[in-house]
Amino acid sequence: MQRFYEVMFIVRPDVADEDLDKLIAGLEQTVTNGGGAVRSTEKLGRRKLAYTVRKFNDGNYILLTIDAGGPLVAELERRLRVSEPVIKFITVRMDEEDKRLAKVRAIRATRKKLSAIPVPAEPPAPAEPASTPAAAPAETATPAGA
Amino acid sequence: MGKHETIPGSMPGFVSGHDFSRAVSGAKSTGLQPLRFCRINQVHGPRSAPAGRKKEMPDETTNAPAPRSESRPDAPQGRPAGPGGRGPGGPGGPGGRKFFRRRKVCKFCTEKIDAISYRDVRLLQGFVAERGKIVPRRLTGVCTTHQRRLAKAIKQARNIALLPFAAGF
Repeated sequence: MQRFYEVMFIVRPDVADEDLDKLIAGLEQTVTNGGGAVRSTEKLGRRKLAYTVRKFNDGNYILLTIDAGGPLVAELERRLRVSEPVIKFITVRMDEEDKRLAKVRAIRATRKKLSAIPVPAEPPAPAEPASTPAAAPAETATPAGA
Repeated sequence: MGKHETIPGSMPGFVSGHDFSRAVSGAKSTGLQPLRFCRINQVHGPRSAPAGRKKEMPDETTNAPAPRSESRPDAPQGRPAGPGGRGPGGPGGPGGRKFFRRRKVCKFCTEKIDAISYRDVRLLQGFVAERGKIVPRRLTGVCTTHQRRLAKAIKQARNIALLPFAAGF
């Protein structure tokens, strides 16, 4: 079963761009080979680190969102640990969080619809199923934007 | 019993006879009123007695007699500290003992922020002190669930060097 993870890692600042891209491509390859799927790759750019890591004061932040199984994540982490340019990484499991958020939003959507209904009873039935698919794309947009 | 009648603000509804007798016997130095009244009588100028007493009234009716009797033995020592602590505690806000007296509301609940991600540093920095410590929820007014999530997010952010573990010096 595929779980949704966010992997954020920091690459040392003195690697060239092509090397960085190669590294990311290699990691994506690992994911796809292991049966996972890469949802998105974001380069957050160079940032100043809050504390010194391996004698570096800033680093390149990269965020990778993937769908993968547990063992695949372990493999990915092993690769990150071993790869020399990566100085820090964190993997956060997001699928449960997403489920909770979706539930909250669904509840909120139904609540809004009920309050919006003036008097007739008919609009709620078509309105509610219409609202949840309409709300869903809007909701999925917000975690990406967060 | 005549003594409490001298103070204009005292509500007749408040008095349940047995509490009061205990109060009168328990209160030591001024000998005037039970703990709450004593405190107000002691502080004259800045905190006007009627204003203070009105704050006390609803609490005294709602509070059980037992806690008050426990605090009464402390009255002589507690009283000097009382106005100093509770005065700013009332309007100032973090509040604990009394009912929600202008208590700060949870920012996440009001703004309906669902997800507290370790990635939005700006949001998290509002809840971190200058030394990097996580601010307790009695100061920020955050509700328990959100404080737990916030703490988790801050710790994740610290691990990925978005927030410091200890800053300043």
